[in-house]
Amino acid sequence: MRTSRVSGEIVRLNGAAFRLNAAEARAGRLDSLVDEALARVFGGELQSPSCVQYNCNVYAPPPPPAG
Amino acid sequence: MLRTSSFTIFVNLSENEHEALLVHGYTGAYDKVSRPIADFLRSRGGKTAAKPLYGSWSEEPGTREPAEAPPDTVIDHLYAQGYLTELSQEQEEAFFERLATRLHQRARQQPPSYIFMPTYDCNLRCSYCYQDHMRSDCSLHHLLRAMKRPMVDRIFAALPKIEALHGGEQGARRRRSFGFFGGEPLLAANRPIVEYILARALEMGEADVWAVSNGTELGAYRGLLGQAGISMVQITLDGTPRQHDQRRIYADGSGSFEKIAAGIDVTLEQGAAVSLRINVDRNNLEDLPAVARELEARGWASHPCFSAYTSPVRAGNEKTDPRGTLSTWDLDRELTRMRTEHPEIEILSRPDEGLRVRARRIFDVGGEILPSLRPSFCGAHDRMYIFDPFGDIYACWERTGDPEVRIGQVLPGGEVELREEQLAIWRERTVASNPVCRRCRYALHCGGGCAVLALGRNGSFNSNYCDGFAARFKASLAESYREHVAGNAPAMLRDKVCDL
Repeated sequence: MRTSRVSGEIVRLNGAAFRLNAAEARAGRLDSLVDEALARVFGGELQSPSCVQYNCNVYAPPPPPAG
Repeated sequence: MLRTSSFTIFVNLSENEHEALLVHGYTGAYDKVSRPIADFLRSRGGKTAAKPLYGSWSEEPGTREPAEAPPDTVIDHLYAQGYLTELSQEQEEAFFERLATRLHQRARQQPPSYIFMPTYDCNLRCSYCYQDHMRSDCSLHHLLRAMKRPMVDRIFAALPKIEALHGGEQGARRRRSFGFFGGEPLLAANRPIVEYILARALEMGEADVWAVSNGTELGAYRGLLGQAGISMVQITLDGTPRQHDQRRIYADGSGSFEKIAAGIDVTLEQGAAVSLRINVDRNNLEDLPAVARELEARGWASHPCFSAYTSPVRAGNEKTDPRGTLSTWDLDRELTRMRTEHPEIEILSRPDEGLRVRARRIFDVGGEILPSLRPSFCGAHDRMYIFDPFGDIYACWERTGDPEVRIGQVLPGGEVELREEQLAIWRERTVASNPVCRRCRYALHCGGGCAVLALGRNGSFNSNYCDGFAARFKASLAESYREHVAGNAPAMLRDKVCDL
């Protein structure tokens, strides 16, 4: 399991997909916050096949049958 | 001062009162924390979070002591994960609304998925069918005509135009999704038109092709079922042969179990997957252990291409007594309870198995997984196009057959005429489009619930259908974490076609 113990009292099980920019948050610039968040989710270092799960839904095509 | 995000979810661990899980509603963070840290976060919370209009959120335990601030390293971590924020409650709600809207806009740019309805006709007369009126009301008899080849050609001429609306290049070769739905799409009499649709679909390139069928006439589909054709069929049984034959019946009142069983055998033999749906209400709930034994005895349960799941019967017409139905949460709890006494029913997926499997993946793999955050509930709100035999296009199969609610139509030359008003109703329903979901910490995990069920309950599409989601989410996470800690093997889960 790729978790990390932050202290004796907290274990990170999954990292946040993005972190809100403190300066933008303090200034209440919400559009910039959203832009940055989405850029990180879809274009940043977290870009991976699992990103498609952000849009998964119950009508997703079924997987092909096993071998 | 930092405040606790309004989108922080606290999950109690029933066998571990010293720790709790934290989940963030829009950053996707998961953590395990000591009770003092959970209490600290609760003490930094703002006003009470929005309550759903109905249903229940399990009560959060109160803080024990005025919470003491943890060390800076912990505060920094809680901030990085999103549990602590500088945004006011109002700013955070506004941020969430914009984030969900943008996520949905992106979802709407995904390649479309297509569903063909070769006919609204069906050979069964199940009492609870939401399409019952189509077969029993003579004024709707015209709906029972089957799709014809010229209509199929017309629809396939329209597909590149639909794909262009989603940003796709004309003629691009990519893997597409095609489904068959009805009525009963796989009636023996429909084979020629289904075969034609399938051939046209595969001409476009690789495709995942699936069908929702009652399974009674699948013997007529040999050669079309399998990995190169219809690779997955969802088939419904309503219990043991005796129970089923009282519920899923032909017009003459005779039962359909053995015909469906033969259809399942054919499908598996042809190499296609069977996703068996078992509709459950209070009348057949206690029969589920016998159903599980039946699946075992017929050799299906151990087949690698076979899976079975349970789904609550909804009161979809006036013949269905709502008092006999179960909510998703009720059904999940009942199945969990029954597993202790009847371990054989573990082959039947509970309604919330998907929540558990996704949580388990995070616990087992962890790190940087993006959880399945859903700005809307299902494909009806972003990319699904359902074509009926008349060229009418619908967003949701629960609302087909009524041209008043179609989102468009395919014109004789293959042009697509979309109805902006209906399109907006369906495609703009998100967790940001109603005030309850907009303030709900679970919203991006739940998607706002089914629009059709929300309309039925609240009289408005743009309203929430919670279906006990908060309680279900927390219970599922707690169970998954317990299983993870115990080192038990995770459940396997095949995708369902639709939860409704």
